[in-house]
Amino acid sequence: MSTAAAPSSDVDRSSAGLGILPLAGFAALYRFGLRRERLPLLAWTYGIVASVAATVVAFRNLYPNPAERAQFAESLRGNPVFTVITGPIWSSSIGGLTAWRMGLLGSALAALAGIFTVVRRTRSEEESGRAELLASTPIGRGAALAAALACAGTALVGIGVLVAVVCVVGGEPLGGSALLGAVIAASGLVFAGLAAVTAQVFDSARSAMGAAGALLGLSFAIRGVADSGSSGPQWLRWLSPLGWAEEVRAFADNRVWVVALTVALAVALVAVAVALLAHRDVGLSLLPARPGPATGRLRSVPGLVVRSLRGTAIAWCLALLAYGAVNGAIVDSADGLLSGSAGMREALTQLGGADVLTQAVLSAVGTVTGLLAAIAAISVVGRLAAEESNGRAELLLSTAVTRFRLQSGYLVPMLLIPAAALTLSGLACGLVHGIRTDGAFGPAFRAGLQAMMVQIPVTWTFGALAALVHALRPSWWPAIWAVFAGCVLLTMIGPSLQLPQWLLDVSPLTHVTGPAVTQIPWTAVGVLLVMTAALLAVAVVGFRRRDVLSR
Amino acid sequence: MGADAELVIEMRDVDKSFGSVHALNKLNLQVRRGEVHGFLGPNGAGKSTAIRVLLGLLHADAGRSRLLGGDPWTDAVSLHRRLAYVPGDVTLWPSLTGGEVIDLLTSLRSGRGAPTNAGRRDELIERFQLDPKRKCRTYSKGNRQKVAIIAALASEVELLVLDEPTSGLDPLMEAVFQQCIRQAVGSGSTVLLSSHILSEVESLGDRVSIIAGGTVVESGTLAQLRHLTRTSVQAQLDRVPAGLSELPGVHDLRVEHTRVSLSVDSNELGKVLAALTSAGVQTLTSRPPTLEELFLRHYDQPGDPAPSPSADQQ
Repeated sequence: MSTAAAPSSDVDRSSAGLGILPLAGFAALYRFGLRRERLPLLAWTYGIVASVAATVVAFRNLYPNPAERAQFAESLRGNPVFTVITGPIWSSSIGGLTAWRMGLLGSALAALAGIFTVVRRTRSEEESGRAELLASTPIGRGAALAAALACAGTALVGIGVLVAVVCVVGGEPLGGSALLGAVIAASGLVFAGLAAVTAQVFDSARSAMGAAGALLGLSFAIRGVADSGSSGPQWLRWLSPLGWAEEVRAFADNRVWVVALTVALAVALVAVAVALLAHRDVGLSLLPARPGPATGRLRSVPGLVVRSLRGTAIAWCLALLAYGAVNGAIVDSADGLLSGSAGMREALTQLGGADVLTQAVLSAVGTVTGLLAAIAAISVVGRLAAEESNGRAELLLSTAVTRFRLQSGYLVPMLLIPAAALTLSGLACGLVHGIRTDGAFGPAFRAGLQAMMVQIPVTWTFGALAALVHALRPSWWPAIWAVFAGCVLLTMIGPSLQLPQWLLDVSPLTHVTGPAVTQIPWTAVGVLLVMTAALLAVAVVGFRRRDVLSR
Repeated sequence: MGADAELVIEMRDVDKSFGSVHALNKLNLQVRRGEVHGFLGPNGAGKSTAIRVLLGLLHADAGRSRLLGGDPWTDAVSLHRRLAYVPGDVTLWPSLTGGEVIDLLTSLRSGRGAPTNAGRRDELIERFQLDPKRKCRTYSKGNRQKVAIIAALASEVELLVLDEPTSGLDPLMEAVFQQCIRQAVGSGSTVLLSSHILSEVESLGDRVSIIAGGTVVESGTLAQLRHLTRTSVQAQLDRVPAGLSELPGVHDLRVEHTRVSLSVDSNELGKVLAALTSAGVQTLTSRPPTLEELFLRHYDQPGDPAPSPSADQQ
């Protein structure tokens, strides 16, 4: 019966813990948080660690001897387009190249993991009202925040340790391996701390994640300017936590003190969050929701959908526009860059299937952009599914709104958003590619535009498939992401595994990748459009015939 | 046809299963035009499922449902112009204000055009003391319910379908709600009011249907239902008569010294009174059962505990 005595002693012991905020119940909340977040945290861990491992292996196979690596590193140092995205190269050892490829990217991914975990465990819980239920039990005011940070911290430290282990197992020196792991973990902690602050400042989880995510993007952009070439303003790197991650120079100078500085920043941010938390009420925030209009101009389902999707739509369009511009800048430099590695050249040719390397690269980046746009399409249908599972669809359908009107309210944006984003991406890619090669609106422009736009039917097919799943078996909704991932793997990896063509053909992606840049594969496009139409037709009929889910 | 015409809601032998769960089991429900029909039952009895069938959100497996003279599944949209629905668990759009949601719902309900009578909307907002400028994410459960109630009442429809509409309202607002319902009925609306707040149904309801296990177990006016049920008797006696618990129709017997309380089936009341009288009555109260007692009796599934020898337990 020691459990009966535990809570009171907890209060006594830990009320001194954070000074102003008692931490009673921390242990229970921490275990609960780990349980709730175990799948996302395992996914983040696997994604980051496996990428590092794959990078080590890839560099070993592609550039086995130091001379090749030195040549590769030299060609990259002279190419700002690459260093803007991936950061500077401090050493051309396999470890150094891995740190270049995964140090910044891994840090950014760890930062995302930190942001999601902390906001989900704090502001999301408050927003849903669940935190209030917990707050009424003998749990200290600081316990939820501390538990959220501890959950994120556990995962991030675990990721750091595993990254170091993977590098050491790959034959790299211990010091650099440990520092690469440390820098990834520390960057994650900084943004976990930042998210703890934004979760106090904003009253919705979406805004808290958005603000922390925007600051992550800003950090990435600031250090990108610093890395835009040897002439870039190097000091800018020190204004960005992700710049610090680069300055650690794992496998080169191994600057431990920069890691210490990063951890200190994380601690400082947590202290700010604690101070903010001590001065606010449960469920409220420092920036309370502003009052809005007392009367509404929303009169219809499309109006409502536009209102709820417009932010997302603009974000997708801008992101793919920027991505298209970057791609346009990269494709023509790929030829010279990759000549150092026969292995990589072969890999890319396999991926795209074009004879000319530039064409292959263009096709490959087109495929990646198409995949991103397909995620947008599936997510829009996901919003409809969420509208139903949270009970709002029921309220709408109890008015004079037909099933078709509600469903098409989301299916039209499902078609429009990826189409618009891919067109913008294509225009940007084509323009930049064209200006760098044969003039603004020459064949290069057309190739860039086509590489992106040919993906539109693919995104529609995935969106229509999502609509079908929602209409026929809403409880199977998560399966759509598995199907999507399966198709991506089939198309990306299938050819190198020499899978039979009929199996590759299952994926809608297979049909437009390849020599799509010079010639539009009209047959494939036609087939995909017919499939989209058929899937949507069945989805419309299916949604009209089934029961509406209730909460 | 004549009898049918006055039925606003008619469900006959309606079945609905979700997998192996029989949510509705030969459900019968009749609601007449112009009445407030109380729909009573505990959580999981099938109230919300029945309402969702009536709204055309669920397709019944068997049976016949008519709503305002139409088929709730095939004529859903045209019927929905003539009714308003308040769900039991109201979720709203977090980034819209209460006022925006009210206007959205009333416009959608009318099908097209203006969000109905602005004066009536403002009057309701005033009466329910709702701040329409606040974002829905900042509303409490009660306030979200107010938004749905105001949107429903502002629409001035023939039929109000209310699924436990007041579970989040404070007593003051509940009184306002009852006033508004009486007004709506006064101007010709019919109301289906599902609830387990029995006093609410007692003060508003003309007729009541009690649902348990997906079946309407009893239906009628409050007076009719009471007629079918027991009378509660409390008496202070000189001495406790022997064999009181053996008398037919006696339930829930409690004896405390010479104080007796029991409930008795109405047709057996005479014999019980005779037995009590013979034991020397000092005081006697008898009253019809409250709806609570009716309610408890129907959902006491394992059956009434037999009047046990340990009748003197507190």
